Amino acid sequence: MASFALAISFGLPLAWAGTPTVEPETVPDVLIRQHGTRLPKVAPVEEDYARNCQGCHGHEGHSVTEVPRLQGRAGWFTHTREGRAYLVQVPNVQQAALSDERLATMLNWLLAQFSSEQLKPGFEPYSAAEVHALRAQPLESVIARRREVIDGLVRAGVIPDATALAFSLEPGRY
Amino acid sequence: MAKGLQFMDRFFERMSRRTAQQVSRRHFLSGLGAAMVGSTFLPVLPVSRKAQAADDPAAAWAKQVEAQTKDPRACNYWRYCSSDGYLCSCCGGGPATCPPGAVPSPTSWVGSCLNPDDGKMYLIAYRDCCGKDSCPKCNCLGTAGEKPAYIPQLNNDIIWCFGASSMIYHCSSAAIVGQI
Repeated sequence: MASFALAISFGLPLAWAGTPTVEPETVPDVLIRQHGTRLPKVAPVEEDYARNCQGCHGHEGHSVTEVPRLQGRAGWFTHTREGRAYLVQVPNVQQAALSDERLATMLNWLLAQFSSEQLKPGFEPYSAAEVHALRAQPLESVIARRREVIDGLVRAGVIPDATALAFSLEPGRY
Repeated sequence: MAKGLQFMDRFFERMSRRTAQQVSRRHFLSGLGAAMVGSTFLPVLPVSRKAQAADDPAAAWAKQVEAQTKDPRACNYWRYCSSDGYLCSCCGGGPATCPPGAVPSPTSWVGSCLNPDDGKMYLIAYRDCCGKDSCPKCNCLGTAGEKPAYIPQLNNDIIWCFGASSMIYHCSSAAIVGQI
């Protein structure tokens, strides 16, 4: 077993060239070190999204069924006052380690990036002051509030039925 | 020790008194002005920014462990500044790839580490490899920028196999997301 581990550490990676296994010299580090390769720079607003949201919501605003999809959906919430508030009050947004200003900028970027087609016509971007006021009113029950907000959007004719904004992509669930 | 300190004390007192006596105030102000104007240009000079980032936890980690970029099987490999668990590089995978038989979790947490080669900060996705019994090799613990477990989305004690086909943890990988 020990010799096997030793072989993995020193010998095998070379023998495995061409397989998905990465040998130290093939990772981008060597490009940075020897050729000064630059990776695309992440803009500050994208960095805020990456650090605070991307891990679960995915870098394109969608990932697994357990995580609510942002892409092609989040914009619907901006059609009602309650929905607009909900996007800020949802716990991980409300508690995000970002200033009101950066959070407002990130939300506006996120909506434009992932869900511009669903935005309310003439959507007014979030301001730091609005985000500040909404963060001061955390939700008692996020599930109950989400249901109220989505029912409101259905009543207003924004979405045909509640499944359009189901929490999970599994049918019939909020 | 006390004597040494007394000497230093006297030395600096003499120095500052002499300066006060010999240098005119205008001379002092012009010097201060030059220093202030000069220092505004300093940050644009093409020098390494490592020193500026010294208060960042990732930069502090890199300094403390003497982070390197050549061996992803060692705990001080630069991308592991916030990695908690077994290194996939030691389990038949790479720093950003899962070993055969394990699947990358679709969810991860994103932190940042300092690359000692170019002195720049990179966003790193800490993505666990799941679906296979745990690989007890190269256990490393980096905690740069990590938050307590009550902020689970930025915590590395929990198992990041959320959304994967199996919640069984195998090892931890660290993929570069981009440069910041």
